[in-house]
Amino acid sequence: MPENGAAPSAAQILIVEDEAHIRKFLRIALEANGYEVIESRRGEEGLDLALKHSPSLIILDLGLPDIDGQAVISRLREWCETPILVMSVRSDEREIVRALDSGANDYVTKPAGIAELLARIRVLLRDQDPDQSETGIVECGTLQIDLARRLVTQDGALVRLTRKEYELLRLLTIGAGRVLTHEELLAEIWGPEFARETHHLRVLVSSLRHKIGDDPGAPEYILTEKGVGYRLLAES
Amino acid sequence: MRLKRINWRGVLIATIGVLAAAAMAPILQRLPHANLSLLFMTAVLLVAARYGLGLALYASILSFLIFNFFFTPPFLTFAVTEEGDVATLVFFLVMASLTGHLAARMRDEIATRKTALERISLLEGFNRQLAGAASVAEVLRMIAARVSEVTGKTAFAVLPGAAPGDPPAQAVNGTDKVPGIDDIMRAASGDEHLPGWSVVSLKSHQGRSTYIGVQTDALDGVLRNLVSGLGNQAIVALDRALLVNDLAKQRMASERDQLRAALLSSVSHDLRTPLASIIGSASSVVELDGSLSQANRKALLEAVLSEAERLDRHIQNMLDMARLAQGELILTPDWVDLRDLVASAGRRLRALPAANKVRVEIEPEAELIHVHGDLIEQVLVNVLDNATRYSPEDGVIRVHAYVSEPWIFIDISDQGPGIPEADRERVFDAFYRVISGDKQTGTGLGLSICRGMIRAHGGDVSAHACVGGTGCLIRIRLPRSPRP
Repeated sequence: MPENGAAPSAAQILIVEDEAHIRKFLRIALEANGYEVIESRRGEEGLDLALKHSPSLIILDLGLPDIDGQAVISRLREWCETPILVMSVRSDEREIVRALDSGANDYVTKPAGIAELLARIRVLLRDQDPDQSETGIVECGTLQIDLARRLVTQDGALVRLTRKEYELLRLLTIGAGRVLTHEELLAEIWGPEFARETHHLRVLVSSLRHKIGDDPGAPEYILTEKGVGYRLLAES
Repeated sequence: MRLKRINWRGVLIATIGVLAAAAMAPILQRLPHANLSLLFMTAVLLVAARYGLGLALYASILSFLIFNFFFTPPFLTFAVTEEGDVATLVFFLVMASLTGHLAARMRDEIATRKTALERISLLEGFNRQLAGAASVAEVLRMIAARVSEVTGKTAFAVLPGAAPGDPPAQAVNGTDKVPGIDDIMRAASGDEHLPGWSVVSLKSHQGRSTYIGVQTDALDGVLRNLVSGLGNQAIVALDRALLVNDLAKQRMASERDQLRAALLSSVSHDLRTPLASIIGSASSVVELDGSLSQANRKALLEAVLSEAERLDRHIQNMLDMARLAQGELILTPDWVDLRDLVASAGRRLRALPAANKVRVEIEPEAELIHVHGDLIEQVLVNVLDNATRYSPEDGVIRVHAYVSEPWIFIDISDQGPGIPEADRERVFDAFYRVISGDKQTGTGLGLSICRGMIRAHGGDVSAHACVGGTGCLIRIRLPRSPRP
C-alpha cells in the first residue's frame, strides 16, 4: 500500500551500507513506502548489483569496509546516470562536496530522520521523470517561475530580477530540491574560472533573497547548506 | 729573531760537524793550505742550511778558532800573524751569515707551507666529520673535541639558549666544569677576564653566538686563528642542526594536531553511527506508524534498543579511556567465575552476535580468576564486539580459556579476514582505526582500552593469526593468583 502516492511503479532502490541496523530500517521504511529494496554491505558487491539490476536510485554510504565510497561514485559514473544519494556520518563538508562533484546527486548526513531521507529520494526520483521540461511554469510557495518566458511573479506581482539573479533562481528551480554546490552554481552563472569565488555567489544569493522576501534565518525558498551549497525548498 | 732558546742539540751537532772537519784536515794535509779552509766552510754551510743563522755564526767562529789554533802558524796558538788568516775569518763569517740567512728563509717557507697544509687537512677532516652531525649537541661535542685536540688543552663549546633563561647547550672535552654562561659571555665581550680560560666567540647566521673556550690564560695568534677557523666551519653545521631541530618541532606540533583532530573525528563517528540507526529506526516507527507490520515495528524498536546499548558501550569506553589516561582506575580484585563474565558480556552484546555463534570452552582450572570483574567484562565485550564486526555472517567465534603457569590465557578467535602481521601491534593503538580511515565500524578505542585494563592487572593482550585458517586471535594473558 504505497503512501502519499509516492511510488507509482515500484521503483527499485539499492542500498550500499555496512551498518546492519541502518540497512534494516531503510529497508522497512522504503518497503513501507512502496519501493523495492536490494542491499549490499560492501562497495564491490554494490557495484555488481547496480550493474545487474539497474536500480532507479542508489543510497550510498561513504564509509565502506572494502572500497571508499568516493571511488564507488566515480566508478558508477563511468557507465550509468542512476541518481546517487550519499549518506555519511562525516560532517566534513569537503567530503560531501567531493562526492557531489564526482557525480553524487544529493546527500544526507547521518543521523537523519526518515522523513528527510524520503523527501530527498522523492526529489531524485522525480528528477528522473522526463516529462518535466524547462519550458513549464514552476510553482514554489507564493513564487511562480515561468521558465519559457523567463518571468518570475510573486502573488501575481512581477518580481524584477537581474540576469544573474534569474539564472540562479532558474538553476535552483530545475534542481527542484536537489542541493547545488557552490562550484556548480559559480561555474554555471559566471563560468568555470570563477568556480572558487564563493563571495560572488553569497552576494547574489543575498540580493535574490531580498527581492523574493526570503529570510535566511527561516528560509521559505532558498536553503543554505553550510559549506556545501544551496537548494530550493520545493516541497509544497 | 727566533733565538729565545738555545738549541742545544743544534750546538752539539754544529760542534761535531766542525770537529769532524778538523779531524779530516790532517788527511788532507797534502793539499794546499787554502783548501783546508774550504773543508771548514763546508761544515759551516751544512750547519747554516740545517740550523739557521745563529748556529752558523757559532760554527764559523769555532771553525776559525780551530783552523787558527791547529792549522796556521804559529801552530797551537790563537795568535794571528798572517793577514790572510783574518780574511779567512771574515769569509767564514760572511759565508755563514749569507747561507744562514738563505737557509733560514727557506726553512721558514717550508714550515709555513707545512702548517698551512696541516691546517687545510685539519679543517677538511673536521668539515667531513661535521657533515655527519645531525644535532646541536653533536656539533658542540665535535668542536670541543677538535679544539682540544689541536690545542692540547681542555676545551668547551657553548650555545646559549634561544630565549634568555633557556639552558644553554654545551659540550666539554675533559673533566673540568664549563664556566657559567654569563661569565663566558662577559669574557667574550672583553668586559671581564675569565680566569684560566680563553674564549673565542663566533656569530652564526641566525644571530646567535657560539662560544669556544680553551683552558689557557693566553691563546697565541696562530692557535686563536685556528680555533676560529674550526669554529667558523662548525657554525655552518650548527645552523643546519638548529634548522633541523626547528623543523622537527614543527612537524611534531602538526602531528599532535592531526592526532587530536583524528581522535575528535573518531569519537564523533563512534557516537553518530549508532545514533544514525536510532534516529532512523525511531523516526520510521513514528512516520510510518500506520503501514508497519507488527514484526517490522518490533524489529525497528529492537534496533533502537540495541543501538542505544552500543552507544552506551562507546560512552563507557570513552570514560574508561579518560580514567586510564588520568590514572584514576583503581583495581578492586575479587574472585569471579570467568563463565559468568563471558555470559554477561554476551548478554550485553545480545543483539550483535545474533547471526554469529559463540562457542565457549573454559577449562576447569581457568574458571576462577582473581580480577576486577567489571573491567574484565568490559574487555570481553570489546573483544567480542570486534570479533562479531569482522566475522562473516555465519562465522563462529571461539572463546577458549586455559592455564599455562603462571598465566591464565583467554583466546578469542573469529573467522574474519584477520589482521595483517604488520598491523597486529598497531590495532592496540588508540588512533589506529582512525589513521586507516573510517572504513571499519566499531570503536577505535576498544582494543587500546582492553590493553590498558589488562595491563593494569599485570597481564597483556596481543593479536595473532588463527591456527590453521583465516581469522584473528586475540590472546588475553592474566597472572594466575593462588586460590584462597
